[in-house]
Amino acid sequence: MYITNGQLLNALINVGSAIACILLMLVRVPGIDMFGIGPNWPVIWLVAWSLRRSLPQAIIAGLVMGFLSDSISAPQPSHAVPLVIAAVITFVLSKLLLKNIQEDFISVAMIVFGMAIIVEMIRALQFSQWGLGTITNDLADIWSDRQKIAISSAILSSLLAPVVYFPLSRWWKFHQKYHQIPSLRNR
Amino acid sequence: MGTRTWWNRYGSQLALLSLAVFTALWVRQTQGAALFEVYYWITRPFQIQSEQRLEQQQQAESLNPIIQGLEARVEELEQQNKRLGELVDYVSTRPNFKGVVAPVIARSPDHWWQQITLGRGSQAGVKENALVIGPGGLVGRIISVTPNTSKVLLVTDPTSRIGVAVARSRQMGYLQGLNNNQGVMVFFNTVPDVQPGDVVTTSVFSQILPPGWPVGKVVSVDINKATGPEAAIAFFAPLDSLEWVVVYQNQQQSSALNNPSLPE
Repeated sequence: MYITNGQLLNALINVGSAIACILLMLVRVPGIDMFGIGPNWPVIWLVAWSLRRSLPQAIIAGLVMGFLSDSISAPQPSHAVPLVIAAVITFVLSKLLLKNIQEDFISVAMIVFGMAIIVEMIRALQFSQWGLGTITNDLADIWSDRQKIAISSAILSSLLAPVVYFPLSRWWKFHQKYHQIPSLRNR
Repeated sequence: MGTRTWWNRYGSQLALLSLAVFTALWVRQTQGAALFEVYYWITRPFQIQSEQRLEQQQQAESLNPIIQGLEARVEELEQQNKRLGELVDYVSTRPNFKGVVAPVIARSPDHWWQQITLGRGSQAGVKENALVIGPGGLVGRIISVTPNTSKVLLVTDPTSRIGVAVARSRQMGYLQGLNNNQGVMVFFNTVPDVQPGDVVTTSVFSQILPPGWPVGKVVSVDINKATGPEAAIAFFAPLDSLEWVVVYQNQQQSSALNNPSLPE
């Protein structure tokens, strides 16, 4: 099985955009933050990927983005759990909804909004279970903090989702049309 | 018929996906060393040269007469301390430090009060558990190192606990981060001798950090708390707006470095 130029370019773009989303989590771009929270770039990338992929591919992407997010921040509690769940929910949504509704910015932005909220909720559950409510941070404080983080992160992520989704989706459609090897097209 | 065609159709995909997962797992194990290196080289053109910053800061400070006066007093007190130490044959455990000036190159909004990434790594002599001092006081310690970057656990991280002492009364306690610009100091006594305005430094009993480094100032004291007396500490270093720090080698030898459940 040989690798064509198109496949190589596709692989590079996939890997490059995923790593770019992870590295963007390290910076604080001036103007794109609300109450000190930025958009959740790995979630945006994950939604863009999972909307047009099979279930195993979505789960693997969730695992990979989760592990990479772990590597740049704290490995415990793991980011893989919320991101895999978000990928699975996105896949289910894509099968349910996108047969009827066309894939446009609004529906993608709303899906990203929902996924960002779900990811932050699962993080809050992970933190409260992991026992960060020690001396003065009791459970109520964690929840109210996390609510604020969840809402700001969800709003910003859904606003900035088209920045990631649009170019990637255009490329994948182009790649599917012109670069797929005919005998392997029907996977 | 079934197995062969299945493997032919999905084999390469399966191989690629497993490769992706194992690579991501390996990156996670190394705490993102490769990612931080890539980030360092990408943002290198945007980094302010830290030596320039240090010079600017020094120039600004030298124009301020109050700071000059304080520096003179500090030097005099240090000399006096040294002479008194010699009188009682006290051997200082603090040799002459030479620090590495490092710029802060990455700070994620999601972990604003927990971690920062510096643009100096093992090639510049930064080692794990090294002290990180910002303009004014303690900022944290190094928790992982790559050739050109290093990650700092800030004192404001909720999992960070530092053995500290009130400078005036030598009252011991430990300082825990609270994810904002104030920390809480928990005391070992039920009636500690501490007042708002007292200076807090790293204590002799701290097993990971060397003693005597300034940490912060007491803002308020709560003696009647159910879990024990506490004091709110405002940190000297401006942890919200760090741009450059100095990394000092940590001379503390301790077995506690291998036992993370003890307070530091």
